[in-house]
Amino acid sequence: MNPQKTLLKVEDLRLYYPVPGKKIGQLEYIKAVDDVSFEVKEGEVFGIVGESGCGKSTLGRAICKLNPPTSGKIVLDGEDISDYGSRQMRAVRKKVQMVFQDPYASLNPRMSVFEIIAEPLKIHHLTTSKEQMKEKVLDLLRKVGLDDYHANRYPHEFSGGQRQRIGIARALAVQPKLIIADEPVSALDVSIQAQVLNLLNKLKRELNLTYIFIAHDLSVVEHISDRIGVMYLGNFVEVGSKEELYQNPLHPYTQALLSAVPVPDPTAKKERIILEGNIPSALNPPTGCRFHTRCPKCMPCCKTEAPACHHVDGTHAVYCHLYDEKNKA
Amino acid sequence: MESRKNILEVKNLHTYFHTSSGIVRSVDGVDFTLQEGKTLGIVGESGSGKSVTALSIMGLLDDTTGRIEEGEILLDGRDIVPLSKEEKRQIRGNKISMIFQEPMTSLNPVMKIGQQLTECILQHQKVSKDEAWRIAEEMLRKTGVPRVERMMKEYPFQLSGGQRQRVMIAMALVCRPRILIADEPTTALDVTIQAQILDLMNNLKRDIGTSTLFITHDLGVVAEVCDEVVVMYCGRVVEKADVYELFAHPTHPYTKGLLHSIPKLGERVDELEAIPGNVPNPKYMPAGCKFAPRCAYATEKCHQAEPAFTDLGNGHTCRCWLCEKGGMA
Amino acid sequence: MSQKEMNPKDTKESMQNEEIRTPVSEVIRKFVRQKNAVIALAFVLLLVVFAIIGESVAPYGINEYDYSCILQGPSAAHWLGTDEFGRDLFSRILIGTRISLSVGLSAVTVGMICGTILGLLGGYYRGMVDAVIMRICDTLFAFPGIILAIAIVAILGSGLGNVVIAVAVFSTPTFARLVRSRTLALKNAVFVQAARNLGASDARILFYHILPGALPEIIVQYTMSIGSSILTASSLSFLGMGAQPPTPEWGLLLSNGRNYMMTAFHTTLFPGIAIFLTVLSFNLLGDGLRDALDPKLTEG
Repeated sequence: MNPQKTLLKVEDLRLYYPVPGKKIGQLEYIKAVDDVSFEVKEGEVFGIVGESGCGKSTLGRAICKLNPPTSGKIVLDGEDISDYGSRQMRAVRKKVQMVFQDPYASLNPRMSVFEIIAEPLKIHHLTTSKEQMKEKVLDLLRKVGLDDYHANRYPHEFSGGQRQRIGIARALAVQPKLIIADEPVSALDVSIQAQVLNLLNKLKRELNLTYIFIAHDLSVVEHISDRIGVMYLGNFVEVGSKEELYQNPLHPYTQALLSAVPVPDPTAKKERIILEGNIPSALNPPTGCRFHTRCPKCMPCCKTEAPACHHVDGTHAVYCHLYDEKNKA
Repeated sequence: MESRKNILEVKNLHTYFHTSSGIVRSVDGVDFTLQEGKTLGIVGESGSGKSVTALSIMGLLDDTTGRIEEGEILLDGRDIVPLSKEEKRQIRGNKISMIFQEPMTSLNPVMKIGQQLTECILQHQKVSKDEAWRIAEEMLRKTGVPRVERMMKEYPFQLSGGQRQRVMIAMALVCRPRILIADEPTTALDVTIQAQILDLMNNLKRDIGTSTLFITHDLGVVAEVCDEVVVMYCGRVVEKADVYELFAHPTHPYTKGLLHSIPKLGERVDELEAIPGNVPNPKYMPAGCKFAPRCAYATEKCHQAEPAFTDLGNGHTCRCWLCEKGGMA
Repeated sequence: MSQKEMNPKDTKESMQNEEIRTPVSEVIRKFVRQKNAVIALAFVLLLVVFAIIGESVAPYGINEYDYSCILQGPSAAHWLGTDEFGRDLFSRILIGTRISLSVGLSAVTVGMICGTILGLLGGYYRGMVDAVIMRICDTLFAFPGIILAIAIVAILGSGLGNVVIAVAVFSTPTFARLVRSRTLALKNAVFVQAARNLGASDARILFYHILPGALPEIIVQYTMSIGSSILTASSLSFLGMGAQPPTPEWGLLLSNGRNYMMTAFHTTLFPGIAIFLTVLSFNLLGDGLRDALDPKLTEG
């Protein structure tokens, strides 16, 4: 991939949720996102995979400040938005938009499709006349594969896939540069998932969009992404281009995750790595490497020291002691 | 092919729901046979009638507007449709038991795990309380949960999602039922936990010889655990075959479409072959083949009349006009 | 694959032919199915008509004394009989409709507006604002409604205007609590977050997304409260703290009739029936609206 402009740069991002601690008046923190850094280039699809509770959705929401981060730096399109308050963020929202997971909950049931898609146009005063607004809304509807007559309908009359198209049209209305799609197809039926994935791909090409695509389904993420980050308990364990990551997974967690995906082929031979136990609580994450409690290749140093980032080559980075210089020999 | 006993036969099952806005034909002519010790997969998307089929077999429709209008469900050769409520209750849990998708909603939140498991035994078997407790503990140990003694005294909310699903499986198997119905048992779980549960179900099949009806939308899961597969669409079975045959020679256009529309690990395609359109609204069911409006091969005939099953040999049957004529001519 | 093909014929035709089911038309469809509620609505509308034109259709004036026929039972000339001054009871009840209805309506409307605003603010911004609002509500809730009203009237003095204030004050916390709990729930709804993500201002989120979501509950509570407010206002007048004679307020009519209950029961019976039917029909109407507006029932 040719060197492109960096659209989003995230540095040391943290998002801690305070929860009441064991003693009265004391607070403990759920470290949902802990010290995450990454970059997204213009025109690429950056996939984030991980299991539930790994903080991938929180990370997506932290970037567009739907859940305000605790600390860290976010630079979007050359603009440092780290310290922006909610008023300043309103202007930024024209550049970054979200598509939500549950298409049944993300549309206001009391608004018609027209009102839903027109809302961002009204908020940002993007049209000057009623006719222009109508034209714009119908144009957006057609872009996502719906028809003009759908505009007067209400969300409850649509199927899940159609509602997700409405959600996408609403996000496109402000002509954003970056779209954060949080599990946009996981609530949909298999045959509909493919339609929405194709639509996202088509829109990306036509409108020159950049996506951050958050999902738990490894096959879906592989299909749509250029680069992928694997998250575990609040931080990335491995980041790389999809070819590198899927063909040569380095982190034991990535390896286990990939081996656990059921393959729709009964003749396929499976060398499955079954991970023991469950994801530990983000309230008291394990010391050292966070994965060490479930890691099949755990070493003594994993329990005490957090692993550093190892750049395997230009795009592939892994956080694991197995790739420390002293362990390589 | 070795001949096994048919433990469950469903013949021409029709289950309709009588709602205020008309009759919904959720299951409209379903036939299949489950052999002893085998796992039969029922694949379909939402609205295909796969879950209603399960509820019909379990006799759990009494409190809904649903009714079995026609057809037979033979359990060990005995029709269980005309049985009384009390007789059906005797069968449930004892001869047929079920695992649900969301374990939290099917466990009683205010009862300890041990109590829930033993209650199940005490209802169907004449054993002492201590004996029941011992049986329950043993079953729970078989599902591979750690610290069984402690877990017996815990409440559902203290367990993780994977542990709850294991408890559900233990509960379903504790009375040694003839048939286990698993309705999307891994859909709510993470990939690594799903791998654990699928592994467990395969082990239990080998060790205990349970006959399982496995309902899912995930073809990957089907390939991992099932021996035979039934594909459902709009309340009908459209294709039936053993698992190797089905994945090697999918014949019905819907089955093909499903297989093609899911992204597969390691596959590089720009566009997925999506099935166009949506599942038809039950109020506007098409006249002929229910899949015709979304089918790329549909002809005039498909829109007018519904095809019957064509036997393709090796127990592979398909409900499509194209096979009837012999091939895709 | 072209986008057109993505909308297969069947879905398109079925959807195009179907009439548009707006949320409002759904509610009407659900409401008219309930007989009790429709009858109650008809009665309420009748009351409203009486309240508007009562004066011009009443057979007698409210202060038309006729000492030749005092405390007479129902007859052809006086349908519901006469009171101790020979005034026609039917006319007085009929014209009194306006007073009872307007006291109930205006008090609850004021209470609803105040309560809704307080509830929205408290639920949306939380923190100190919320704490102060809710503690005041808790304090008001601690008094039985009628005692609170008596206390307020005692402070402000008797009279219909003060009754309205008293009833408004004690209906405010009910609305505040109701709206606050809905706001808390809706604030975290995904579609509200989606609106925030679009850059919507707080005012827009509150009035375009959260308030419409709370409206069904507000409407039901409003209807129910009118019934109980009419009852409270009548009770205050009955106790001599509200309307003053010779106003034909229903509670006052009841209070006057009390002295003659043994000899002329109609003087208490008919005002009582008027209050009873009015409160009942507002409650039935509220029940009907609740069922019609319940989103759970709407989904099915």
